[in-house]
Amino acid sequence: MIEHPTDGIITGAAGGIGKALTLALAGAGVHLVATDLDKGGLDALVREADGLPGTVIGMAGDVRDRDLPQALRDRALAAFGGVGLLVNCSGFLKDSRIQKMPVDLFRQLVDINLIGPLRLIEAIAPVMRMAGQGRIVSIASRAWLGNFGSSGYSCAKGGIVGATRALALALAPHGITVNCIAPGFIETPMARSLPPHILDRVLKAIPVGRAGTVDDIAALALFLAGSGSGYITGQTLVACGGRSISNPIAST
Amino acid sequence: MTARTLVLVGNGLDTRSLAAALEPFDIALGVIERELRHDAPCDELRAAHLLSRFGPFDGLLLAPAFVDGPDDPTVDDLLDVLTSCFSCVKAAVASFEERAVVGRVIALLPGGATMGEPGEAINSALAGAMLSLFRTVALEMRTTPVTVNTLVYAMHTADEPAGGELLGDPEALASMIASLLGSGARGINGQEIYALAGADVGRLHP
Ligand SMILES: NC(=O)c1ccc[n+]([C@@H]2O[C@H](COP(=O)([O-])OP(=O)(O)OC[C@H]3O[C@@H](n4cnc5c(N)ncnc54)[C@H](O)[C@@H]3O)[C@@H](O)[C@H]2O)c1
Repeated sequence: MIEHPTDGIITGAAGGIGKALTLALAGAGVHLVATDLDKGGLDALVREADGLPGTVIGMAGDVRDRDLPQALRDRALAAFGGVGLLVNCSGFLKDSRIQKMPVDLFRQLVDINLIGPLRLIEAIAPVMRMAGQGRIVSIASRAWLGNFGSSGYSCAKGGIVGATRALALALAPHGITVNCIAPGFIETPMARSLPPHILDRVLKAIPVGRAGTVDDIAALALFLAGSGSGYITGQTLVACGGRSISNPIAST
Repeated sequence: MTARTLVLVGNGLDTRSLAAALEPFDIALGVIERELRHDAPCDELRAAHLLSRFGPFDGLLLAPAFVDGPDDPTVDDLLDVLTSCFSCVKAAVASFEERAVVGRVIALLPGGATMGEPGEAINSALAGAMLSLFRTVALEMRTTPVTVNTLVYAMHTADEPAGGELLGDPEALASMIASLLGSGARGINGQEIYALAGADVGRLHP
């Protein structure tokens, strides 16, 4: 029987993938502190999760806030007594070719998609080490392989993939696994923010002929969070309908 | 063979040996040391100004790495260093396009951090971020005369000198850089060359 950690923290919980994941994890009995920038979305999520086996506590915040990791950790420890799972699911996407990408936007993309998650891992890993077990799952992106227009976003996602390898090696002796999921195009508000002509080209480039669903990613995250994945660490699992092995979209 | 100029923006890598090894290929190395430091991230204007210091250049070498020091690098340092790297790549691409010349952008990344080493999370994040940044910029430059590639190098295993981290095999690295600079390498774009004498074989690349 697959077992899941009893408690955890998830970021980006009000988003497309984050919400599906929070509900799936709470459905599997994981008690969660769920955070997101979007307070209204978070409140709605907490209401929706009411009655599931796992409790969902909402705590709004910005992953760029350097005090957030500590606050989330303290909240989870006070409420549940531990943090057995950390899911980094917050994310922000804005594309532009390098020539047109302002440095400030690049910085914002790296701050939200890489620095925030790393800061959270730094705060939570010691709690897991003390417990001698833990699961860290970060939602990276297929864009880590390179993606036209995504210099900031792919750079950040590549950073989390790189850190995951080093962290997995460092934390393996402490019973902690660290992995990434690299989704391809998943039907969520983030994906729908792409301009229609690009959206059309992206959809045509997916070998399985459809966009991914949030449930495709939730299933994978549930697996990585559970006892069945204990022998998997430092990996980046790509869920992209085959796009990572097909021709890239070379221009927009 | 025409003389070429490369600008290296580095972060504590011992570049004297690399500069010496590039000389036989008639490649002059203009070194901008420690400009990728974390306390003063470089914006586009500053990057353009720095790169122009050596006149018209044929290529940019970016060698970001946190070298051992009294303080461990932090995630904030990482953000600053990546910002500076981005600014330099952007400024180099703009310079090549403005001059309508063939251009080469090459990242030099240390093998250990790139492959993943326990206790090196920030350096591994930096290396992973650079790999992906270069893959994306390579895709964007695909139809231009600019190529964007990454060389993953080995470090010297003996005690590190005070002046910076020693390159394991500067001659080999210089010869790879020289070939990437040549017109025969115009079709090599978005590639990662692991010059680790096979130490990476049997491990998944990031
Ligand atoms: N949808 C896709 O096609 C796709 C593909 C690859 C990777 N991803 C990744 O999956 C994850 C979830 O994305 P999604 O598709 O559900 O997008 P989404 O936009 O629906 O959700 C992202 C969530 O992150 C939150 N967020 C953004 N900035 C934040 C900040 N500074 N602090 C706290 N929260 C913040 C947003 O409020 C939002 O709820 C992200 O990491 C994203 O990069 C998505």
